[in-house]
Amino acid sequence: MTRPRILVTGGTGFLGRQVVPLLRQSCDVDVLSRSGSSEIKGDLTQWNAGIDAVGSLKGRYQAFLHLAGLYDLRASQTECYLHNVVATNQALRLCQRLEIPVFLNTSSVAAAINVDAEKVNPFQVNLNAAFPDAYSESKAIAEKLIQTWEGGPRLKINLRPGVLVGDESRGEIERIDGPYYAPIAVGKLKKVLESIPGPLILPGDEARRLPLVPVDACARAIVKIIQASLVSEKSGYQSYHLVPEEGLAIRDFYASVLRHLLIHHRGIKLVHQVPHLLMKKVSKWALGFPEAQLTYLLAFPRYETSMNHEILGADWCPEFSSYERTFWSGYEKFVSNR
Amino acid sequence: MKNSFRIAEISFGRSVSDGAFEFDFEGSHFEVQRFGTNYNADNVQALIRQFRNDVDAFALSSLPPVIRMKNQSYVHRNYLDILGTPSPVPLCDGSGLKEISNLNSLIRLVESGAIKPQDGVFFPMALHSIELEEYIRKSSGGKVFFGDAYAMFGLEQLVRPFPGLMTMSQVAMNIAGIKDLSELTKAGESRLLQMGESELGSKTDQFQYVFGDLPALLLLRSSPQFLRGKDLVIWSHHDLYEQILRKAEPRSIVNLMPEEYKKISPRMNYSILDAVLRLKHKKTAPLSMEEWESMFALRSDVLPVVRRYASTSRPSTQAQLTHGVRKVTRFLKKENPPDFAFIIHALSHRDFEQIPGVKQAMRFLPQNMNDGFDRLISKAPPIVYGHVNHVISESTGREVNGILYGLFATPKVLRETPPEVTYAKIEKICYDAASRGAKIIGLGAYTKIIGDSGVTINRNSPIPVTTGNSLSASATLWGLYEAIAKMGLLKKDPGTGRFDGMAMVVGATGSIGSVSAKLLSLAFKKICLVAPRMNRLEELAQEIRRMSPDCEVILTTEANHFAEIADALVTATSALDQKIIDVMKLKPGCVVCDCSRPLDFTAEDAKKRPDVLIIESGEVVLPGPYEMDCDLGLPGKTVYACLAETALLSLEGRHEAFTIGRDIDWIKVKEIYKLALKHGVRLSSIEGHMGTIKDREIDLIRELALSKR
Repeated sequence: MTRPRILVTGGTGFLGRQVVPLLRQSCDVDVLSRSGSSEIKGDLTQWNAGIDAVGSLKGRYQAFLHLAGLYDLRASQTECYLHNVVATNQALRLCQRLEIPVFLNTSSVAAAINVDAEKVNPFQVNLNAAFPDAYSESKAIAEKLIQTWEGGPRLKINLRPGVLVGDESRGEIERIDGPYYAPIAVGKLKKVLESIPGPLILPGDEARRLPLVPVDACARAIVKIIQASLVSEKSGYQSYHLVPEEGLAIRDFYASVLRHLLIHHRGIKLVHQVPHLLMKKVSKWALGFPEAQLTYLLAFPRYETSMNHEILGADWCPEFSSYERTFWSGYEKFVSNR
Repeated sequence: MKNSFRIAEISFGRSVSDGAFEFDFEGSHFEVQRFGTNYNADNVQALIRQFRNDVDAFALSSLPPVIRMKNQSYVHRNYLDILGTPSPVPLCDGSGLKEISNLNSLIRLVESGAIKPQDGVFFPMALHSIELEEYIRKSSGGKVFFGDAYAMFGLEQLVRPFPGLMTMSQVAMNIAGIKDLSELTKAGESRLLQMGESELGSKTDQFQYVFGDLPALLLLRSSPQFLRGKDLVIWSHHDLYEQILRKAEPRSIVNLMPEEYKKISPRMNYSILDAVLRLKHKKTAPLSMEEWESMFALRSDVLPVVRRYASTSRPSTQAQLTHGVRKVTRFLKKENPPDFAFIIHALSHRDFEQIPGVKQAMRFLPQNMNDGFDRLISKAPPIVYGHVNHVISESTGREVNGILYGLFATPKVLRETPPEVTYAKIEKICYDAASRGAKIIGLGAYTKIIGDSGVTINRNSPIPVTTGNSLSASATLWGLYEAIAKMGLLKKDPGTGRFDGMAMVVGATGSIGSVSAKLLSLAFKKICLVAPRMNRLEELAQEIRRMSPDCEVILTTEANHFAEIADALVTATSALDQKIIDVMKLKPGCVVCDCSRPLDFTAEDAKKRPDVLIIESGEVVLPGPYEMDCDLGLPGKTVYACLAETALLSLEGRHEAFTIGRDIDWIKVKEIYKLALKHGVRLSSIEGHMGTIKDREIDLIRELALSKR
């Protein structure tokens, strides 16, 4: 039996570098890149992705995995629009021209950050409410674009990974992002925190959970979903949250940070009644904690994951406690090397 | 002939139902891809910049229209920003076309009784189709209701026309012009979505017809009372959307878009149609009302009605103010910082007449004081003479802007002034240009001849300096070659590929002259070199004989000796007062390329010899929809080739002293020619003393020449 062939964009990114080798174990993979150093030269910022003649490529692929995108919480609305919305439009057009039956897009849980629901389902986006930043808005718009794209692939699958952290075995990261800002911010106040006689008062909500996902676990999940899509005869639009079942309680996360920094404390008290704007300004001013990152820490809703079980099983994503040690060793390695 | 076109449809609406489709129309193939921009004018502009070198036209849909009221037009500032985005391909928003086509269809439908306006017509947003509303109200005696007050301000009133409504609408337009379009459109959209819950929802029995374009009517889906049992009048075509509308069980859906255009694709709107028709008719500028009228072959009795409701004679105060504010804002924001700079100067005493007031003053000046005046005015400091904005490469899409500095000095004054004085002035300009952001500066006309031809200036300048002579030389030969080909009097030797004739270069030891001589020696069997010093001519001849051993080289210090056997003549001198060559001695049918400044041949000379084709040095046209806010003394958008070299180096990102000193490296001449082709610099039309020389004039010159030979 011939191996299926997959076309991948964003194959050189943080997630792409994990997905592509794993995918190559069961499929032939062509990576599309601007430089032409990979199998296919193309550019999603150009008309027809810079590929004018598709003759020999038509009908060659069984799936298109769109990993490329701009992840920058401080980027402008237009930058995010061009890299996350227009590039997705171009990717869909390429998929249509190459007659690829399955299109898989990697979005983010940030796309639903403004959805007001006890548990967000993976199809939900709210384009009428304000977004905390241009990035999350562009991801939500891109999802809507894929849902309503006219013509093109038979099956469109949207994947919403949680907050990607270092892999389970080594915890290696390539930049400080998301939860990794916390030890830097807290570390600055070590002496002050240790001198507080009562419990530490920190921003957060007991009910909220951080959807941390080790990058290798996310890559394994994506490959499994691709494999399932290749044998699926379904059509239309599907969407999956790639997040842990439980997620990490904010309190547990703070405890882990304090433990790692060897800060003695007399318990943690979370406060969320304080206006978020004030909390964000104070955190930024006193601790250098980026406002956009704190927004997510305070606002992550719970995510519906039951739809994944059929393909991934219930326990595909490890909880933080199982890789806490490698999480911190990866962080330390990055901090000491930079 | 191009038969396949790409259109990027950029919708101001959401990125919903984006997609791509292809269709054939009148023997041409069209590929359209839609991009929603989520009500963000910056996104629209960014997309135009991203795709302007890849597509043949942009179809801008769902933009707020130019609104016509009381014979005046109202326009939003974001609309002007979008339509003002520099693009080498047309930006088509369907305005003009939409109004004429819709009115034409509506008049016929009302006349045939298919639409009965007296049964009541509701416009959710009448301002977007005010010509239809005005026609129904004034000409067909229909009952009209508006939803604008609700959509714009949330006033839950089903408005009927009343005295003063127009004035109120004008005030509303002025307010709307201040707010950002993104906020306005989002607010309007969410109100339309909830229209059924408002007071308006309980009054839908007062009208039978609902007029609105498909995207607007789709918003009314959540208010079925506006759609069920009603006659919906729309003016775009979208199979899927129409199916969705039908689910709301309207009595009928009437489309004002003519059937012959509607059927060409499953999706069609006036913006796409505008692009399709402009591409088919090879029109880049928006078509005028008259052109649309003739395209639709309007009936003579329909014509005045259409004109009455669809045309305006003047912009409103709001539109004028918006234009003005935009201009000032652009100036204050210092938009378009320069990437390159260029220096020019007055080419003659008459150029000073362009200075306001000077022309009148010069009338009282005796002619013998002209020189004194020129010397006096040359003491004035240099000025920023103008700008060349939005030069866009055809191959890379990179955009550059230029700033032009002017020196108040004629060639004669420059020649008399010690070079150090002029160097100091130019160096100041270089520092000023660098402080404004320019990364390279070009020397125009006589400023590149002074002293050591730019070497000292380049040494002291903070940014690289180029004389632009490489492209000047290249363009000259380029122009000469085209003119010779059009004259068709010279035959090519099939064996060597050379013209069977003699080319003469006057001023051959100069920088442009020597390169011209080298390049012409590759194209002609015989070449005659003319210059005042024989020893320098000998040096050049040796070099040419090494390069082109098959070319016979003749040397002379007197041009008139061989003028009567020259088939092509290039003059590249800088003589101010003396005639180098007598026009009466030229061979009939000779093609003369005069790249001397000031010109060697005057208009009088050209009149004396109607059997000789005299062209000026090859000037060029830059790529892209560039704008110049100053007069270079050249027709249309033509620029000096040396300016184009500076722009080209900037487009290529090669900020280096490309051409400097007296000698021109002919390898660089070839290199810059390749860059010109790569980025889309074109030779402008063949220019003579009296402007563009048309093919018919060349035919006449050839006939006269043949009769004299």
